Amino acid sequence: MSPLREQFDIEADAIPALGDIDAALAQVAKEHRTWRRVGLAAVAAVAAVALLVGVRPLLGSHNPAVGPTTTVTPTPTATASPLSVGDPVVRGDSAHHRSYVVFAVRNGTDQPVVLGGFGQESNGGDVGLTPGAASVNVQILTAKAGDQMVAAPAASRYSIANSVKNWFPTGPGTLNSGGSVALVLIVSSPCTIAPTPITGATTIQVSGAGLRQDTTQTLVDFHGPTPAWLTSALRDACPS
Amino acid sequence: MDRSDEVRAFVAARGTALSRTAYLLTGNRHAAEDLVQETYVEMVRQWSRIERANPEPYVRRIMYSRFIDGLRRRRLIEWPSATLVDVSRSDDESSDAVDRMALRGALAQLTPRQRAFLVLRFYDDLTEVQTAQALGVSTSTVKSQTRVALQRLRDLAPDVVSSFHDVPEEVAE
Repeated sequence: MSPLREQFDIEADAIPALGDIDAALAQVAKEHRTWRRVGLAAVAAVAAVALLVGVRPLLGSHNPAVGPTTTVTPTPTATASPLSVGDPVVRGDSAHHRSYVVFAVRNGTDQPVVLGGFGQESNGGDVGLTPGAASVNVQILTAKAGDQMVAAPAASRYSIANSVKNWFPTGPGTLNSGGSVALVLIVSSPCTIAPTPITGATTIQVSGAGLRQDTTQTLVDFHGPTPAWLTSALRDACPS
Repeated sequence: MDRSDEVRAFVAARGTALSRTAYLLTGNRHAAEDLVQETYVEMVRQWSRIERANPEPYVRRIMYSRFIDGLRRRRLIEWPSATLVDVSRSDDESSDAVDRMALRGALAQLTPRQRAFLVLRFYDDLTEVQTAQALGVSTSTVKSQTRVALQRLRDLAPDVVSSFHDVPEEVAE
């Protein structure tokens, strides 16, 4: 053995096992927990921001290039049947489970206000949202259970759709197969109905200071026929 | 066996060898402990990508990489000094012991980088190519720096280092 190798061996032989593998495992586990929390917080923040300000770009700006959008021109025909164009929500089988949340952004304000909803809160109570409309543009995002979001709409709408997707966690109250979920956004003119498939799920969580009731509401397990308030709201939203 | 069990089993088997390399690289037990711990943390993070049948080469690469990062940050490694490294050993009046002390002192006066070249080449038995990959340098740099390190050892401990026989000719020349 060479003197150099021998010297290295002599030096190293005095060294026991160093380091603490349990501490390393614990540190990495902690990192994973932290990243999960950060990820969830980021998702929640994105959802909240998208809800609060994401609809703002839609105000007063109809962009026909975004997503599978069908514009309902506010003509007398459209007014007579404003939901007859590209709207699976109203035309679909009423036996399908559905949910509707109507957001309204009053002209000149930033925060969306929930004007109406249908279904139940997570605590079993009625949504209790008051139908009504204060604006004139309609965005309808629909989804069926298991659907993937296939469109990549304009940034504003994408963020909304993405947020909604994030509001649909897997878990209790799974949407029945074949059911659909819709998010109806009532914003400003002109009237647009935009069916945008998103990942099907069962929970819509609504967050924002503009909510009439709680700052956060979770709407789950929507089902039943199309509520009259929705038809009314849509008609109100798309006046002739 | 889950990941934790696999990692623990590996450390139980090879932790001492890794620790000794870390010590030789850093020349300081506290720095070696830090290096080993950093290596373990990174190893756990990357365990799913490590070949389970033979994880040691990958883990050693992690250690070398962390060591080089430490050199670059100038914080992990104690810079060389004229003092001897911190290894407790009984004094021996024999000439072998004197030679070892002289060599130890000379090694302690190498720069961490020079020491790393010697450790990887003559303790971990890496080839020049493997050493170059481990330290992120070219093969020619490995050759030249190893030669410089050995020359410095010869200057510091001429009576001991003159007897080196394990230095490849292309390095020794």
